Amino acid sequence: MSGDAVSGDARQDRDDLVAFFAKRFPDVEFSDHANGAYALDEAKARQWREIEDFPPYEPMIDEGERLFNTAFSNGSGYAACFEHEGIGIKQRYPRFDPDTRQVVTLELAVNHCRELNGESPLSYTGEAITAITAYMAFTSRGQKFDISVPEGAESAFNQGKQFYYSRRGQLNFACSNCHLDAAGLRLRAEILSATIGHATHWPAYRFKWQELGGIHRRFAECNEQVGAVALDHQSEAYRNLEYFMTVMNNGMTLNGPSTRK
Amino acid sequence: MRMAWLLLILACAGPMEISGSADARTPEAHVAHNESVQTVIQTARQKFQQALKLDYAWRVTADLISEAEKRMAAGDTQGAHDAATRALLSAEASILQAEHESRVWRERLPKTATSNVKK
Ligand code: HEC
Repeated sequence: MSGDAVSGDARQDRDDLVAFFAKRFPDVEFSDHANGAYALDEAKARQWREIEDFPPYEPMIDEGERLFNTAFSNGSGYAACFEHEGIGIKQRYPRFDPDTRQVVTLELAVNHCRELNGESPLSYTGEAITAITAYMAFTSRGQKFDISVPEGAESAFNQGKQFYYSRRGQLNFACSNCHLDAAGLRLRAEILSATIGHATHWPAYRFKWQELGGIHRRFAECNEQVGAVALDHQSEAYRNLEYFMTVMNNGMTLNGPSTRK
Repeated sequence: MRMAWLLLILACAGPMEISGSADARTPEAHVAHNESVQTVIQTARQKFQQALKLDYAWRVTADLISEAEKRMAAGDTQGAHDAATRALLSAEASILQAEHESRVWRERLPKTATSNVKK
């Protein structure tokens, strides 16, 4: 981690969360939280590892690679838009862009790239962008999150943080009520996973969805289950939320795409 | 505390329980009532838009507004009035929630040794 680039407060927030979960789950290694709820339930983890031996998302990685390498009509391609030609870079996304003062997620960067090259942007709910980001995530497996919070980014970071700790919806729940206070407890048939580890494995193949989906789709579902109206994928609020959550995952190893229930 | 009660009341009353009984009204009273129901629906819609802008809208508000519109179209004025009133209450509660949360969210940060010392 190039920790100097993370503002003191953001670093403190991340360390506080890591300390909180170390105390809550003394037997769970920090790095194991990248497996979400499976880090907290050995029986489910065993099933899950068997699934991961023959992952259902594999064809989508191939499709993503094909799309990623398909030239735009001007002859250029995605590789030209990214450092290291887009290979093994996801650990630095989302990133704060000081020029636009916006959080840029990988999905947003992919569409910026298209627009720069005269292509129309992809739908954030469609299969193509999910496949491309799945391929990019795959090439970043094993890297550790290293998200910086440079000067000027504090406001976006704090908005994401406020979102995470604010109660919402008719049922009046904050993300933190479930994924911090109640982490490790059961909610119906599910075990609530910890905040740390939430960003490592996207896009994820969920059996409920029967396909790969991005982290904003999961945000929307978690909002809706407490009775809140979900926000648009890639809305500013969700991008800031993803930024905050990913900074909280700094130092964790990327393991996407992955499968979840 | 008042906030918690309001939310609890709304949480307990599911949108399925609305029942209408417009039968006992005279035709004249019915017309006047019609207009006031339209006003309540309109106000509920405005408050819902306000909650949406705050990123704080509740799904039940939208459900109750369309419930009210459906009842209205079916001539069930009393049912429409009940649904619209609850839509309005839920929209107001969601806006209250937004205001309340903007003040208290920091209380939910993890209470570890470091963060306790810090603030
Ligand atoms: C009422 C409880 C509840 C609330 C509130 C809630 N979630 Fe969840 N969330 C769940 C459940 C249940 C799951 C599935 C089991 C799991 O992985 O924790 C889940 C899963 C997730 C996952 C996927 C974890 C993984 O390993 O793939 C993410 C990310 C997530 N939630 C983020 C959020 C965010 C952000 C918020 C606030 C906007 C939020 N959740 C609010 C219950 C909740």
